[in-house]
This record gives sequence, C-alpha cells and structure tokens, in this order.
Amino acid sequence: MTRARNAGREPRSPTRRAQLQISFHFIFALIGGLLFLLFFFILIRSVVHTSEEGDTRGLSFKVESIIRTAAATPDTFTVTSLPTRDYRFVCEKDAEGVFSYVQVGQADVADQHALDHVPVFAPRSVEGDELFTLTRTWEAPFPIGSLMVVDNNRTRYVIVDSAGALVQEEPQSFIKEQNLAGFNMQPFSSAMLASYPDTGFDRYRFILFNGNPSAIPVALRDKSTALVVQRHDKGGTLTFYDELGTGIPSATASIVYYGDAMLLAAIFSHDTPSFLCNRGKAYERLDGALLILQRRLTDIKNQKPNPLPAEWNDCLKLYNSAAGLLQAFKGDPTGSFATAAASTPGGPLPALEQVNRRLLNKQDCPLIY
Amino acid sequence: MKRHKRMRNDGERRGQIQFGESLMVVIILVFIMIIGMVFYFRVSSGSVQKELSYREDVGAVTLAKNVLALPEVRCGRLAARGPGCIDALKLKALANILADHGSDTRSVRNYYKDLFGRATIKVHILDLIDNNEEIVLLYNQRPETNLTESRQFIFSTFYDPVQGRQQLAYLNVTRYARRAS
Repeated sequence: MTRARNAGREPRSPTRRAQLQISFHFIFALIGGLLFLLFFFILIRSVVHTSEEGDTRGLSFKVESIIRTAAATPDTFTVTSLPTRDYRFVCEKDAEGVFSYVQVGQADVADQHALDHVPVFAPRSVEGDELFTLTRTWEAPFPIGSLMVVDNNRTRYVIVDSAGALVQEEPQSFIKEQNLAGFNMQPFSSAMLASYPDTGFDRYRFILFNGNPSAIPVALRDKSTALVVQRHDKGGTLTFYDELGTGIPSATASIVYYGDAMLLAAIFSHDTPSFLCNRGKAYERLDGALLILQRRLTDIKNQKPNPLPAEWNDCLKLYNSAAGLLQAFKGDPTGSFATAAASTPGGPLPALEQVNRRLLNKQDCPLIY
Repeated sequence: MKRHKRMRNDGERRGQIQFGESLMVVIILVFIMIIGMVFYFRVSSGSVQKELSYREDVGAVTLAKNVLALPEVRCGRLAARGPGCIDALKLKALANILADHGSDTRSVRNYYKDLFGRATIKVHILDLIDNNEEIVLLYNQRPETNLTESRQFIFSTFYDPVQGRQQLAYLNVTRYARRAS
C-alpha cells in the first residue's frame, strides 16, 4: 500500500538536506571564525595600545629619573641616548602651585608633579634621540641648590661679544669650559653678526654681552631667540627676547640675576616663563638654606673650637658681620636677593663672600659656608 | 512504515548529534578563550607589579643620592673635604628645623616634606676608635599603615668644622611605597 501511495511521487532527495546542512555548517563556521578573529583582533589591538602607552610612560619615567639623579651630581655633563621623540619640559604655575614634568610626544602624563623641586632649564621641547644634561650648584654666594640645563645637539648657541671688540675672554669662558663643550657653543664677533649664516640647526640662541639683537639676521629670526646680558661682578641683568620678529626686536622681560649658575640657566632657557618658573623652584630653597646657615653660624660661635685658635676674636667679628648680612635677607629673601644682585660690587652678597674668604685665610676658623 | 519510522529516528538522532557537536565546539572555544584571558591578565598584573617594584627601588636610590647631594647638608666647596662629605653642623641644623613644631619654620618643613615624601632618613656616624655609632635622625615621615619599604645605604664622610674631625658615616634611607606590603 505504501508503494502504491508513493507511486508517482518523486523520491525524497537526501542530497538537498545534506546541501542545506553543509551550507549551514559553512555559514556557522564562517560566523564563528569571524567572531573568533574579531575577538583576537580587539585583544591584540588593546594589547598593542596598552604596550605603546606603557612604553611612553616608561620613557617619561626614565627621563624624569635621569634628571632627578643628575641633579645629585653637580658639574657633570652627561649624554643619554633615548628613543627618537619630542620631549617637552613643562613648568607652569596655577592657583595651587607649580607643576613640572616631562611629556613624551602627545602622551598623557602620569605624574604632573614629578619635577616640582628640580629646576630644569631647557627649551620648551627637545626633539631627537639624545639628551645632554649639565648640573651646576647655584652659589649666591652660599650654595642654595642645583640647577640643571638640558638640550641636545640640534641647538646652536652663539656667544656674541660686546660691540666694537674682538671675541672677549668673558664670553669665551663659556666655550672653553670643559663641561659645556658638549653643547654647540660658538663664539662670534658682534661686528659680523648681521652676516651670520644658517648652518642647518633646528634652533639658534644668541647670547649677546651688552649687545643689540637687531643685528641678528632676519632670515634666522623665526627659529631664534636672544638673551642680552649686562654683567657686573657676580650678578647683572638679563633681557630676554623670546620673539625676534622682523623689525626691531622688543624685549619680553628684564630680570636681575646673581651667580654664574643662574646666568647659565638663563642661557639655556629659551623663553621667559620657563626661566621664571624654574628659577622660582630654586628660590624655594633659599628660605631653608638661609635658616640652616644662620643656625650653623650660631653653633660655631657657641661651641668654639678646642683648642681656641689664636685669631678667634678676629673670627668672631667676622661671624657677627656675616650674621648681620644673613639677617638682612630674612623675611623677604627673594626681594632682598634681587635688590642685592642689582647693586654695585660691595653689596651684601659680595660682602658675605668676602667675609668667607677672609675666614679662609685664618685657617683655623670654620668657614661660614 | 517501520522502515520510514526508523529512518526518521536515525535522522533525528544524527541531527541531534550534529547539534551537540556544534554546541560542544562553541563551549570548548569559549572555555579556551576564558583560560587565555585569565592567563593574560595574570601575566600582565604580574608585570605591572614588577614595574612598580622597580620604580620604587629607583625612587629610593634617587632619594638617597639627592639627600647626599643637598647643599643644605654637604660640606662647603672651600672646606675641601672631598665628595660625599656631610657637614655636621648643617645636618644637625636641618634635623632640628625638621623636628621643630614652630610656625616660623613651617614653610621650610613643608618644603622638605614635599621633597622627601614618605621616608625615613638617618645618618650613622661611625667612631672606629671607640667602636661606637651615633645615629642622627634627619627626617621621619613613616606612614601609619603598613607599606612596602625600599631601603638604600650610601657611604659618606661626616665632618665637624668646629672640632676639625672627619669620620666615616653612611646614609640610611628608607622609602615607603604607595602600596600595601
């Protein structure tokens, strides 16, 4: 009966179901495979992104560690090889205080206060694969703190003498100094400044001793900054020209300074806000340094060496004189400092140095600093 | 009909088996992915811990070197006592300022608290003749909670300008990490 019922009908095709099954399996496998690949693609992408971020943060940490450690070794010039990046040295002030750090490229910054207590004088950004660092103790005249200068070989520092003279010994002292030899410093006569050629550096920084930045060639001005130095004794005045323009350059700021280390810091700071911000970090140490010096002086007077030196009474007079000079800074150290630095030789800072040198000649009396 | 029924049962069973196979494949794949992710996150958190530990050690070494290089405690250049020399009077003056509670020294204390962070800094002065050791506590900001410590020692000399005596000394710097031990 089944045979009769089925007579005339087409037999059921097992291949159609199989084909459907095969198609279904194929589609299923395709979707599954795509999902699988998508998952691993997302995973790998996030791993790569995290790894890049980690590398950049690691690099930022490394640069900050180099700078903090270098601050502990004064008068040392070091060259550090790093991956080629753009290293930005940021020092800014807001209502809450200073925040200072190194930013690598455009990456996020992990710690915006990493360099809050390290005065670092550098161009706003240093591009390249090398970092040159030099640390100097700022003595004014007693040691206050370490100042660090940073740059690389893509900047040319042109040291220009006073007008109407050959390259003088004073600016030459910068070039001759061994620790500065690594930086690209070149002495140049002011008489020929107008014809200074572009030798392919990324940046030019003109340091003019009692000179006029108008003589800087116009062709170089868009990648140049200038600093005019008027020096007297250990201090003087710095006039910053952050933008030179095409006409007569106008000064950005005129700032009093004291100490060779601070002059060096100004040379390596390519803009005024950065210099002032980092100088502020150095001034923070002034209160503490003054207080320690005063207490030390009191201890020397009270404890007295044993045996008492023959010239102790003379030394005591010098200690009392020094105590008076230090007291003058108390209360408004930075203000007094600026005033003292601006004064002619014989002001309180040189006077303190003189007292210390006289103590050095006494041999048996402890020095003030 | 029996044959037809048997054939249909066979087909259904085969279909169920195949469905089961597909389901098993998916389950196994998901299982492998979960194991992979667990393994990956374990490894990455381990490397993060290692990186943190490295940074803490670097921080401790940097702090120790910077303390020794502070002009506030270093012997004066004109005294010509060599590198790594600590001036006794400067050290004691700074230690007294940091231990002080007066309002006139608050800004100075805050500055050094910010500079040194959570750390303990001691100078151990060795008297090799009397076989004695004097410890000067320069700074102590030990946190109340138990955090990991990273300790560094650096040898130096200790010069008393009044007595004119220079002794061997070492700096003992303990830096407290930000994470629990």
